[in-house]
Amino acid sequence: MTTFKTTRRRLVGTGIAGAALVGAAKSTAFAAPLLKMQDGVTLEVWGGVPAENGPQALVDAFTEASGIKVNYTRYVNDDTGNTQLDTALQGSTTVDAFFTYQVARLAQRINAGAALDISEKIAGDEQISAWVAETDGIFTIEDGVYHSLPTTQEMQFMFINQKIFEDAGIDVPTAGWTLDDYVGLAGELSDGMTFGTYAPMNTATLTIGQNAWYNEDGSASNFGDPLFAEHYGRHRQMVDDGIAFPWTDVIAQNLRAYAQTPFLTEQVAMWVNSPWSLRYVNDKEQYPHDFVTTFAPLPSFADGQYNNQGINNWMLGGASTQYPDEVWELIKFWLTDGAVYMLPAGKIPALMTLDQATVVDGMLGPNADELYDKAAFEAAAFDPDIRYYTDSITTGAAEISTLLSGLEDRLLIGELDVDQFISELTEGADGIIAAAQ
Amino acid sequence: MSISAITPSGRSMKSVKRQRMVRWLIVFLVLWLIALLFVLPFYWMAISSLKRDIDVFRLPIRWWPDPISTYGFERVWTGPHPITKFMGNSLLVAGSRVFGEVLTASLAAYAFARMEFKGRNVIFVLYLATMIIPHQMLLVPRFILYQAIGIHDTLWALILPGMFTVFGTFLLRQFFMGIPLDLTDAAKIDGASELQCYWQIVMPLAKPAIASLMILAFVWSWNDYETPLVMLTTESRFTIPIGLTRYMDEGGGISPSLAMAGAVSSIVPVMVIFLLLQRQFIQALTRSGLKG
Amino acid sequence: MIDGQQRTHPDWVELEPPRKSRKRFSWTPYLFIAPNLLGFAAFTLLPLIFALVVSFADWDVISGMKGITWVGLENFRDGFSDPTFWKAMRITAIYVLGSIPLTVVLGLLLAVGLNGPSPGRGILRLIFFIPYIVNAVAISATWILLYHPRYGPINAILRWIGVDRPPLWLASSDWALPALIIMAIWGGVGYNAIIFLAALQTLPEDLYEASDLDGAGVIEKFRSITVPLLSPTTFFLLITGFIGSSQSWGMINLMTRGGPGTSTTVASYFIYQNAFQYYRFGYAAALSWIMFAIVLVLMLLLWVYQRRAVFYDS
Repeated sequence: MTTFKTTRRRLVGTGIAGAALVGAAKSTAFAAPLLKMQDGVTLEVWGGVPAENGPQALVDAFTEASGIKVNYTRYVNDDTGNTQLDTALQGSTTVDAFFTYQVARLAQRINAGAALDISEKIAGDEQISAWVAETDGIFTIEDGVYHSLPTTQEMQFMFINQKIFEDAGIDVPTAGWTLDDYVGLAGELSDGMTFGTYAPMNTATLTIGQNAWYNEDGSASNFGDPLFAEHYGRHRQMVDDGIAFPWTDVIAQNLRAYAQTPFLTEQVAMWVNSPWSLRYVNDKEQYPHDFVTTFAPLPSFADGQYNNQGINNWMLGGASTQYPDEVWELIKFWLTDGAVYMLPAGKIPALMTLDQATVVDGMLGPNADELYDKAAFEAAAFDPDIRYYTDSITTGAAEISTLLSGLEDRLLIGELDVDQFISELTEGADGIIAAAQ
Repeated sequence: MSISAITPSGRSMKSVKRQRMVRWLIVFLVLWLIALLFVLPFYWMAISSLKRDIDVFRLPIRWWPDPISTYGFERVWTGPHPITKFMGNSLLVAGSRVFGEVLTASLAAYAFARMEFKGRNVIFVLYLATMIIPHQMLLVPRFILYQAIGIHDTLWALILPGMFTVFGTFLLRQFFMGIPLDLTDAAKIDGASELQCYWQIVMPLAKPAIASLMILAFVWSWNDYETPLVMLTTESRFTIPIGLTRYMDEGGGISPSLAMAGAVSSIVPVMVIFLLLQRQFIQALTRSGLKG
Repeated sequence: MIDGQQRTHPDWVELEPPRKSRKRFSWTPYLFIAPNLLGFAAFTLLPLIFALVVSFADWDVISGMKGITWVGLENFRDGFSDPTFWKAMRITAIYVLGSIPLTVVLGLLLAVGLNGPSPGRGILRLIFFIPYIVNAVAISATWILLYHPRYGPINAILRWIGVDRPPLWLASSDWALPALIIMAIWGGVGYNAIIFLAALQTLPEDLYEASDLDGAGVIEKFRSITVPLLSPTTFFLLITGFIGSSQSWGMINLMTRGGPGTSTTVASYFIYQNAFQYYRFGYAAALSWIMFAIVLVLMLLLWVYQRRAVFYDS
């Protein structure tokens, strides 16, 4: 608790990190390896989160604790930004460590030999090797050979506008509610101005899990699976019925995943999203709103359903780094003591060394009592039933994803029906996969 | 048309005047109506920059910001990505480019316009051909080249290629060709070197053309979006257009108030230049578009 | 500035016939062109050669130079038989033909309107011209707001004048391209008008006076004097407009990312996607060359045509 308070003060710029935190960091992870570190090392680190949202505070704390300087470069996690990182990785610019946010890019980078092999480092660290052993979905291209570690859990849950529910006299759903409940509630809460939900979760990929887009051996696409027709048909129907947010607005505003405005202007009652969106709810200046945000776990729709492709924000060392030991120290710090600095950016640590209360307070911010139903958040975000998966096949994934979102747009604005959508998607994706092999 | 059907002899002075008056009025009204349509985007840009994000996408549509929020401007000017930084970079890039371009282009143009040498036409055609090459073809090779010579993600990546342009050479060559050869021939008889002719005779006479090139090069550099998009990574080195995209996607989606405040802030300097140098500006464009 | 292209007049291309003289060889001219030529060679020619080389290879950047595999003409063969590319070329053609001729015509009309003495001419000129000098990011961000189907002022006005179901603009495969075309026209008309205005002021008064005596009306004079005399300018604006707008992808990247579906995926954006999204740099380079060849041929055809049809007074 005290640790967190110091952290936040530092982040809002009124002071430097308190002695408690730095002391804690020094006393645990750093005491031993510090002695071996070279002086005057500066690590070049590339990541997608703006420095001021956490990474800068994190690397400052790291420098203070270890004496290793870090120069954090933010790259924009879009196509050009990733291309820049990739050319830097194979070119003359030094990159000692970097982040990757899509499995396809992760595979591509590791396969191209751009990443440092950290298997031995992991094996030599009791805490991390234990965590790696017990965690599903840590990405490898070969059993037992590790190049990356996820730093963040991105689970999905329902953001709920409590006021809309109260006004309608409906109870906020809790664990165990079903897909039918969800669609039914969305209908009851819609009145032409307000939409019951922003968009439904993708029940097809969350039922199938790993490699949902591909058939068994990855030789063709899997969109013929009736689960896809079912999910996209449901979404289309909900848009047509006016109970899911109009997709024309989504396109016109470039919203897609970033739907904070419709939610915070009370246009949607239920919004499936991940913790990183909390910072918009926290931002009372840009998004003033006078309702309480409460939460529910995803409704249940299948046995053994997954929650998300959810451990993410992979950290990797650059293959050409001259400082593998220092890079490993940074990775370790990011996973453990440094994680506290990433909480305001909505990053729930993948390796939970912080206690839950610290994480909750760090994410919900100083006005938590006024803005949130905290207990509901804990129940939704720390639901023990959450299951993650990570893809292992990524053939033509970038092209399939462009194709999919283009066709999805056309389906949801009514230019294609579900059958056309599925057949064009299958045909296109099969072609892409065949061409890529 | 009825107007054209009447012969001059059939018209009294009065009716001619009245017809002119009506015609003039129609033109005037139509022009202002179109102008209104043209201004709408700027009006919307301005009022959206003073709205809160939450009010931009909200019904009913508000044609006036209420409440007025200066948050966008505060954040654009004093936030974590201050536009002053981007402007400084843009100025530095544009200034260096303009200086370098005028120098290299005027030298080359002097040779192309006023000297004879083997291969002149071949080189010139080569220059010309590159002007219709799809620009995106050069992005990746340039990118790799810059990494190899170590200027990737520095302002040099924008400045250097901008210093050696085909366009500037064309523009100045054209003007130089219009300066009578007798002027320099006479000086040469008096013993002046080509360099002296270039610097002391041709360049002073070409001031209007050079001013044109400077203005155009400045504005193009100021507005270039595609090059810095690919070549720059570090935020502290961003120029204005690419810096503006920071306001567009800071939260991932569009932050309208930030984007619009940034847009307003970015166009004010160009508008000021235009208003101050309107005559020269138009002359510059005209020169780029017409003979002489 | 919508396209960001640099323009130059076709006449400048006219090569001066070498002056007859028997001077001995001198290094001086080469020293004069050296700085520009070396920079040009380094930053344009060299990358071009690389683009040519890589168009015969498969290459994904991330594997480095060692990851280059030679595939001969395969990229070109694939390009010629890639329906998505040809669809993109078709979209490019619609975009270019939809925007440029209209921009030129409107620019001419506007120039004629602005050519007489009228109050506020300076302000009008400024208003029409400003879009040309505004950066693409500011323009795109603004038009995204303007085109919003529900909260945008354009549809608010359309609803107000009685259009029940106004277009969805960027959120519709049918309207996204027209929306971009409207923007391009808005962005280019002022520039075209300014060029025409300057040209108008060079037209000989006496021709108009003579036709006044013949009793020609305004329309008649416009048709028989103004239009033919301005044809070199018109041709120049058309050709540079065609080249510039066929190359633009920045605006697409900012506004629609080629969508909805592939309805605004113009060829240059498709090339950009192949290079930067799919990491098919060799293929992207090959497509660029195919596109270059097509543009070149079209420009040459136009050139031949203008040789015969355009009126030059000299």
